[in-house]
Amino acid sequence: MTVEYTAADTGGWLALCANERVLLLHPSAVTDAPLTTALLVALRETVGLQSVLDLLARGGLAAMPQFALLDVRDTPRVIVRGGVTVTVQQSPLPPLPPTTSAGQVGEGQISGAGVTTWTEQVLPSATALAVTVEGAEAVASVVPLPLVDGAAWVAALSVTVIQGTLTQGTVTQGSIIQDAGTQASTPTTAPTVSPVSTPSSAPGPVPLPDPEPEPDSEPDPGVTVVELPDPADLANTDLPVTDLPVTDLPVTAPPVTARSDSADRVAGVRPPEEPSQNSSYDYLFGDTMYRDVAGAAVVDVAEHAAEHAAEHAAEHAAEHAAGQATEDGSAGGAGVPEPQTSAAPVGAGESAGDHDGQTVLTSDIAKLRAERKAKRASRSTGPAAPAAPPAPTVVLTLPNGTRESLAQPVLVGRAPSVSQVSGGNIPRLVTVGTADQDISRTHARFVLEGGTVVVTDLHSRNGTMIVLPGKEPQKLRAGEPTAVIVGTVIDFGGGITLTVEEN
Amino acid sequence: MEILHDLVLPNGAVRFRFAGHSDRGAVRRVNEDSFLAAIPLFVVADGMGGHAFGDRASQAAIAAFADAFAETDHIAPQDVLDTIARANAAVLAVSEQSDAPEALSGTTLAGLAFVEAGPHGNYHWMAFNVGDSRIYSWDGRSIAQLSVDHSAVQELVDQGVITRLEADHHPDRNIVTRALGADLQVDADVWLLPARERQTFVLCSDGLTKELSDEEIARIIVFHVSEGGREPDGALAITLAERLVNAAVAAGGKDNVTVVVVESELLGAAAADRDESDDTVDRGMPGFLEETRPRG
Repeated sequence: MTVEYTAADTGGWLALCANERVLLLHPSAVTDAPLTTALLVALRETVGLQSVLDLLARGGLAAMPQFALLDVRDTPRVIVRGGVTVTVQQSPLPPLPPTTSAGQVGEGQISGAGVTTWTEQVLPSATALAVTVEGAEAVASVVPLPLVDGAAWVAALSVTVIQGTLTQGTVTQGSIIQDAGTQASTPTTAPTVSPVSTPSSAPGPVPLPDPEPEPDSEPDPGVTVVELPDPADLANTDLPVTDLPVTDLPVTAPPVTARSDSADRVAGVRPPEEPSQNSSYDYLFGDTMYRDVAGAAVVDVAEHAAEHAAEHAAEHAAEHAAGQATEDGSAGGAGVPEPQTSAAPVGAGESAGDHDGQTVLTSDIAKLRAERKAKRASRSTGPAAPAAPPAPTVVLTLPNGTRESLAQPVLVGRAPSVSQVSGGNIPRLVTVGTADQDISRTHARFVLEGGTVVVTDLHSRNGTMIVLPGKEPQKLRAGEPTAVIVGTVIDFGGGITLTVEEN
Repeated sequence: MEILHDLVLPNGAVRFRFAGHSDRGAVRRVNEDSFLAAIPLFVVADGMGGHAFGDRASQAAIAAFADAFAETDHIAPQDVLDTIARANAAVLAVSEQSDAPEALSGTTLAGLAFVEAGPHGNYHWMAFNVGDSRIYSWDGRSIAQLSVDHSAVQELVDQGVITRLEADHHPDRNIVTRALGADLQVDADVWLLPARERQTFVLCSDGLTKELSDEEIARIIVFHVSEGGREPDGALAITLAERLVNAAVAAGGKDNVTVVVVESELLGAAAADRDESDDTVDRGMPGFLEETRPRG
């Protein structure tokens, strides 16, 4: 592998390079030195990339920075979060599969845009990977510089893959395919089966794919890894590897195609599959779901024993954040209110018993406050609020001749009342016919919806008649909102009528 | 000290009799509850325990109400909503003034306002609630909880996961789901009840309801009323609010306890308008026999 980069003057991303892996980090994430150091250490680990992802996600999904992680240590692999785009050059023939997921910008490009978590692709036939940081200004000297191990602020970076491992004899393709299959279920795990092996050293019977049909003629090469022999057949086969007529086997390209496609397809369609040995990030790969703060708290309480509460609340927080981010259409949905992870026993010890008796908020107020400040900032810079809609011109004329605006909902009855309405729009209450015992206390509701008056009989005892101009009287169905036009007379009975009129 | 005051309305008058009382309780060192009892507005605020400046938060909320309605006796529902928003901003300001970045404050709010909710002297009691302080109404025989708590256990009860009884001992019984000072916007639940000839309301912080069941509260009210009946002028040395607070403190007093009791009585024409004998009666001739109701 060789890495070359164009140094950034301003606006660059930090590239950390070690162990044939390159991590490009959005500058917002490069604020504390220990993290940078820890990331470098994690890159040097010989096993998978979990520890790198662990570090990046340590503040929760919402706080996870944009990054691009290029790993060519084993099979070339790209993990991208956020809008950054990685351009991929592949060895001839096997192109990337057609765009199958939101994560793929187009052929040969991988982006994390529109993906809640991140996009991960295994690219067995990649020959070069390149990243250009948008908005970054390169330093005056444009000569690309090499980078082997260390960190640099980069405006652009390219990785050339040495394709040694991919031209091995096809005898190993069985294990390669198996390998691809394993990766399909554990994409963030580094391949455990080395694709590099020679026929003579391959232990035991090696699964052999049927050389026919040619991958080119296959309608769906990606999923037809079915050429893998049945495990039972494998066990029964006693064909020694060395007996294989090596020269008769198809060379390089076809199996690589099959493998590439299978891996790509799986990675492309479901990028973040659950890594089996890393359960602490399971939630990142579960189905995204939205729960409001209260819902999360309640489900939490209902479903789980107390000792698991904190752990699950954390999961819900991440799900919640993920849902929010999805809704926003951006992965960065900052300042998502998180469910309380525990009933924060502040001031514990003030009283005895299982509970300290103190009232606490369900939400993390500190987080909310940050969100609040962000909102304020955006509000002050944001566009002015849209102008208020023109005043409604339709009014309700009461029996005594007064005209009631319909700017707010209006409840009419003998003694109207309102029960548990939330938020801003409190109805006006209009009393009619106090002497008429056959008019219900809260008889009917009038609201203006998009310029149309909608009247609802609120299950009144004796019902409501409406007379549209030039029509026969008709009775309103109780509880059913009915649109009426200007000139309609609403009759509550007992001589109490209201008229919808233009102002 | 119980206060008696008449408010003159265009079509009569309303007589208020109210008193409030608050106690630190038997355990807490600070009283984080605050209340306001002044015509036409009665509010109880319970500062968030555990958050720094819980007492300042509840005081800030109450101050917002006191400032808004110091000059006027006649208010509309929208005025109250505007004041709730201002009180929320005031509580937020308390959080931000504090030196320690972790210092967080919030408060519940339960209140009653005598408002003109429509034209022509259409007076109503407006009840509003954020959090787990409560509003009860008393009809002379039984007590009924008017407000619905914004609490985790209330949601569990609503979902049928636990019963009302289990809620009293649930480990999460002190988690509220709405509070002033929690966010830029606050949504209060609102009820509008037509002013009737005679109404009694009890506002309280959760310090009362965590110690006394609704039945016990009702018993104390009945006892108090009967005691008052024995006095020649109906005046007792102790108010109902004090009696309830004392009972809650005696029962454990694990939290601050605050109670405001409000009685209203319509006088003159306003009362005559509100003949409340009244279930709606069927009209003589049922003109429409096919009363099919829509589903749901």
